[in-house]
Amino acid sequence: MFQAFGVHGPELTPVADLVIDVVLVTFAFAFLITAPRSNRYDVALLGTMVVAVTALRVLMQPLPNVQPVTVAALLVGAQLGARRGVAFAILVTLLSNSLIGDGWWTLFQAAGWSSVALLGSRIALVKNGEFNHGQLYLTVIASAFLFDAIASLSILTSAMSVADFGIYLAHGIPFDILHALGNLAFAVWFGPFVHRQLGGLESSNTFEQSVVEHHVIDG
Amino acid sequence: MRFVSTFLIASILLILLPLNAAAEEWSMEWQVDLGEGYITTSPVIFDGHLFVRTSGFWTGDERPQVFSFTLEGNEGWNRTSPTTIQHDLSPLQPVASGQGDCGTWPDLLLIGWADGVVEAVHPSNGSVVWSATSLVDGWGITGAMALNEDHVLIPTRNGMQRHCLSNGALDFSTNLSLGWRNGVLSTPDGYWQGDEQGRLWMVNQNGTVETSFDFGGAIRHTPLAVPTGLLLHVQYPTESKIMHLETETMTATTLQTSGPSPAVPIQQGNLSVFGDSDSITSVLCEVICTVQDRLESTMNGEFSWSQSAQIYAPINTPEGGWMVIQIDAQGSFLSNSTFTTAYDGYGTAAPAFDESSLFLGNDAGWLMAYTNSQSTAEMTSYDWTPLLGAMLVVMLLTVLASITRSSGSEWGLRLFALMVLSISLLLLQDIAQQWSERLPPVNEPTTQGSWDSSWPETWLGTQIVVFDFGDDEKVTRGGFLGHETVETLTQAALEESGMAAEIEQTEIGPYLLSINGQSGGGWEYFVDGQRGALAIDSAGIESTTILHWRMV
Repeated sequence: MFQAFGVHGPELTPVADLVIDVVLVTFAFAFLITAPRSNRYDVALLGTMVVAVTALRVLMQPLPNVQPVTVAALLVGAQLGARRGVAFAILVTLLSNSLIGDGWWTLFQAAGWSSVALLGSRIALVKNGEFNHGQLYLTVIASAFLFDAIASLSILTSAMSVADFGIYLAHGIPFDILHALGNLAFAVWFGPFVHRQLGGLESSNTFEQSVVEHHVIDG
Repeated sequence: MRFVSTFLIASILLILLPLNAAAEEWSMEWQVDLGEGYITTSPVIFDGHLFVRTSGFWTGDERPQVFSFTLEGNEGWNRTSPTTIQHDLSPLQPVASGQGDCGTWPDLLLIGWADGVVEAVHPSNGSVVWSATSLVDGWGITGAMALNEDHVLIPTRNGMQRHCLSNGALDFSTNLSLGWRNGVLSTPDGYWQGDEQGRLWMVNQNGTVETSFDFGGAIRHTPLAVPTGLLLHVQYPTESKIMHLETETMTATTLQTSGPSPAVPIQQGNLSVFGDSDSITSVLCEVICTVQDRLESTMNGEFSWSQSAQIYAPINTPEGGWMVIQIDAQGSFLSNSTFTTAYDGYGTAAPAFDESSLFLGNDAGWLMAYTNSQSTAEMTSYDWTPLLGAMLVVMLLTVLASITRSSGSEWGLRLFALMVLSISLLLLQDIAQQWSERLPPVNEPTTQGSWDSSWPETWLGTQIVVFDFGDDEKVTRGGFLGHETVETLTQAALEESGMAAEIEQTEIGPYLLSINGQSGGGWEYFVDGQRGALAIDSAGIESTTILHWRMV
């Protein structure tokens, strides 16, 4: 399966690459399917967000470690739940890496952003329909370090000690800080906008659920 | 009022920022691939031309060469020695035309070859004016020559020879002891030269040995003359010592104990700079010699001074590059940075400078030329960029404060976040570099670029040895763990393979001569695709190294 150990982890054969991609896509759609029911508009909007964030990530690739995906995954997880958030994270990772470069690291990036989406779903970023700005800003900063730590696991091999990995992480701290500052800037500029867009998605689900319940009660 | 006063105070503080001399800025002009050999000694600029030599050929029909280029990168001539061997690293010695008691001579370029031949060639066309021979014992001439009026002193393998510059006639040949990379120092009293046994010899003008001093370690550079005697960087098995020899009393004092593998030191006035595998050290000799400053680095080659009084030192690591050190007249290292090229790697050759150009090369064999994008006059003028940048930041912050005051915190926070992100992006490279230099190096898994898919997967993450006898005859062994040097890993692989090797102990370490009686044109080794440059007992390896032994 592994052709060799490269500097970013194993160099994958084409078959191995395909297997990982298929597994990730399967997980993504499994999470989507098991998420609360959505109509076509919701699916289209989520799909549009996936494409938009993918494009943004590709366009911002020259800026080292400025990752719009982190904030987007956090907000999607916070407002649409863990399953949609994880599915969103996986799909954005797969789609953007197909353009930037796919490999062993895709698995860990997907895991990192999925973790961020899960974190978002567990933290109360929205209370009584109002956006908790302070909580968001603190969480996006923490998300940067969470994602970078998980993504860095891709370089681990049996030959690397815990101390070596710690030194590797330490060397990346300036880039982690830049990631956090980038997240903060995105959250400050686009947090409310994304919240409004996803708010429509969330409220449409709530409306449909109440209509269903109403009919059931009536029934 | 408070706003205005705050702005004014900030502006005044900025104006008090210390003057900052502009750093040298180099832009690539041209580059030439000199083939498979290493550029192990500094290029030389003479009479409007650039001369450089290569060493270390083992493959095919290529041999060590000396090249001549114009300063614009056009090759003039090259001279190949069909008989020389590896370790062709004796610095090229230009000689301006002149006359003396033993005759007249034109402009010459003196070349000392590792097969013991010394040639004086015309710099214009490479044709030989005269040549002479010396003893070869493993190798011949590897050290730096010295000029003495109408003669040239040559450090031979086993001693010292003096030749007339006009016709190469031998004045004297004095037997001392075996040496390597040992240069000659010419003084009014006589000639000083060290050897591999650690003895420093003083030879009179008539070729007789006057005196000697035993340092007990290898002397691999030209001794440095200081008002109080000589400075030497002596190599011992696991360390080195910067030592001062009081020549009146022949008394030696250790100034500094340092890392192994000393470099070739450099001197300017009373200031001398030494290097080794641990650090770069400056020594100032006035009434007495004292160590002034130290800087961590791995430097085993040559130093050079730039036109702006900076020291350039090749960093002899896989990452390579050249350390650029700003040093003051007292020997304090004021700042340092790394000059990088596209071909960075192991290197021992210092750059050569002319008025506005820099010429350098390393073990990758590329000769590169850079020009200074700033004139000398501009470099001493004040650089307004930091002040203007700081004023821009102050103005932006002032605008932000104003917006926040009038429009609320939301827009203020947005602009602040954007400003911080922009500044961070601009500073990231410098900060990341400074940060990384303060941390231990990353011991990343070695790229096994030459992994063979036919090898068992159980060898993944282990040490592997390939013995390549040529004609598709290879013996491969893997699954080794815990070996730290090429020597021990090779021995383990040989033992497992049931093969025998002949290894010769030389002054610079063990040298593999043959495997199973096969020596071919010699054996060379590669560690993860990189040709080995050290003795096999000194060459370190990683836990996942692929070691290739190739018979030429």
